[in-house]
Amino acid sequence: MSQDFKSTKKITIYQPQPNLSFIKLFNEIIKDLKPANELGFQLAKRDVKAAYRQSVLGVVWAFIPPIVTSLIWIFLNSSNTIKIQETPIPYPVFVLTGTLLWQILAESVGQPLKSVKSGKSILAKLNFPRESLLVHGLYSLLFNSSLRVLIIIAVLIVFQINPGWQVLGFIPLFFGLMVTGFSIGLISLPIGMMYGDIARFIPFMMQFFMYISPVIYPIPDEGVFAIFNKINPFRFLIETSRNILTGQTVDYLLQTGIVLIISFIILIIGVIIFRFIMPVIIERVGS
Amino acid sequence: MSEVLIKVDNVSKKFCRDLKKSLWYGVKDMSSALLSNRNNELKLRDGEFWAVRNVSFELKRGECLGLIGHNGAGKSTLLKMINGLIRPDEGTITMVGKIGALIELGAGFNPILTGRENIYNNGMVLGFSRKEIDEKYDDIVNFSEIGEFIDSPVQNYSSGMKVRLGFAVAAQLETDILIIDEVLAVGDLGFRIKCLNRISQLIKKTAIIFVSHSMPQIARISTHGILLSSGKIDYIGDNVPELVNKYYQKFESGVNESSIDEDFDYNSISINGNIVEVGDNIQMNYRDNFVFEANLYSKLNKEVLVSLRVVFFDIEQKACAESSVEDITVYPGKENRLRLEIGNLLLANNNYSLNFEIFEQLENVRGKVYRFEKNYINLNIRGINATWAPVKF
Repeated sequence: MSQDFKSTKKITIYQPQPNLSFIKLFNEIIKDLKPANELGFQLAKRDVKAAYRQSVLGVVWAFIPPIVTSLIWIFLNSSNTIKIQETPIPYPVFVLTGTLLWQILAESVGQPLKSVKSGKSILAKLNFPRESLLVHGLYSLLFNSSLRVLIIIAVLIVFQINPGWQVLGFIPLFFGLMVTGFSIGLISLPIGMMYGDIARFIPFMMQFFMYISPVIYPIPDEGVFAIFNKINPFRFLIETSRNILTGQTVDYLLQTGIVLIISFIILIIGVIIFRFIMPVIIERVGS
Repeated sequence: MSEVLIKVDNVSKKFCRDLKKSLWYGVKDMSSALLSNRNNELKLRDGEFWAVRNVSFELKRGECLGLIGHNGAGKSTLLKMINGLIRPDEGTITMVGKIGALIELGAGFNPILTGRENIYNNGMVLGFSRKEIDEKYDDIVNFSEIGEFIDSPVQNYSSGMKVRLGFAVAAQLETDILIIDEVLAVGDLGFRIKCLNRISQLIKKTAIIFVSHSMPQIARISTHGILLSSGKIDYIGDNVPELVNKYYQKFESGVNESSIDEDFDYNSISINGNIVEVGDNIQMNYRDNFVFEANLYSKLNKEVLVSLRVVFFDIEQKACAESSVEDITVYPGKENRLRLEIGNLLLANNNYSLNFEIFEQLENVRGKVYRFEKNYINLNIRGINATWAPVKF
């Protein structure tokens, strides 16, 4: 085909659905990475700017929901409405860090679908690197999650908890929380773009997992909860993160590491599938 | 010899009207592509139809393909495939060089942000890097004629201003291939002319595919044309007047089609004067002598009074000049000569097409039409450039 064209220029060929080739797609993605990153950053900046420009309280809105949620639980616990077992750190610190970390994770799960849907109208009209919408999601997450980490730091200072140098171990976990959530959102994205059910299901599912993970209360040592939490990947991330941040001993470093590695692999596969499947999605939900 | 930049080879695409089914087929297509490494099935499934069927064409640098057709004829689907948004179900599209699309003006705008900020948003969605936009920034602002509003939020802009800003960014695209869909239908007249001029500039260096419902625009910038109808090519070629005419005919349902009545036999119809025949077209110069002659034999049993009228249409298929000879007596049972002479044809440099009709002349009204020929011949006039109007006294 290409010898028809006497040119050294870039040749683009569009054909019927080719076979799935991870290596070829991976190379394409690497080639598009720079423009995708630049565009994704620009779009994220645009949305953050726009969100805060039309708001009086601005960035404060990022703090209000987790603090209010935590206050509710602190109140429920201290008023003996519910009885939460003894926590190794002051309960307000436990619940605040738990809620904030969980929100990082939960937002990450919903983010891919949110970002790609927000770009749906241009997806169906212009050919730009599709990954930029995922990059947009990652930068948006990074921004919101950083704000949450700032609150955690504030909480630690208020309660005079000094985790020492091990706090640096939180840096990979911080990205790990986002990557884990993001990769889950990403593999559900192809179906989620077609059917609205996924977008409704995700918050519901995450709420369910929150109540069975050690977010608001510690996990009992025995019973169904304990058994389930031996394999609950979210538990390892939340618990390890909180223990590192509050200067406690970390029990499940290996499991946490495995979760992070698996998440990262899923992320890479998810990005490749995303690129491969995008034309089918646009065809069905176009414009 | 300029190079072929776009080659569309026998391309087809299926679509499904029913949303629920369409989504379900989508899920099936995705899973079969991911799991079984098998291509899509080519036969139509329940509820599907061919939105584009067996379309092939080639386009070289410097050519502009006008793509027309009614709503739902498959234009947008074809464009989406060429733009790489969706894959064809059959066939191959090959393109050389950088591809740009002028499809939605102002894509990526956020209404709350200022014009200045949105230039970057829009530009980067179109594929410019931040550095390129920095360099072109002043040109964009000048072209858009937005003035001081550039630092106001875009939501305060009038719709015309938004479009102007969007086009100003897109006009900076300097690609080998440019896809333009219907974007020039908006804005005021002055701005539309500005856009068309910009496109005319680009045309020399670019292969353009241009979709529009505005036939004057198509006629003005296209060098080639495709008329799509139910996904298939109805007309393809470089005779743009004929393309436009075919498009109009689709609306006219027979009223205005060529017709010959059997009362007369035509022995010859000729156009004489200072003409040169070039293929199916004829060529002549400004102020040349134009003679139209028809020799016909009347099978009627009485004399009739007829009129012969010749109408010139410009390339936009608007009638721009006519001449007629009235009260010609056609005698029964013998050969009659109908002759119309225009001593000096005052039409400026352009392509025209010619209609003629012979009809019965009744008292101040038009009687029976003996012969009506639409687009009988194409006429290429040379010698003097048109400025405002085609007729130059």
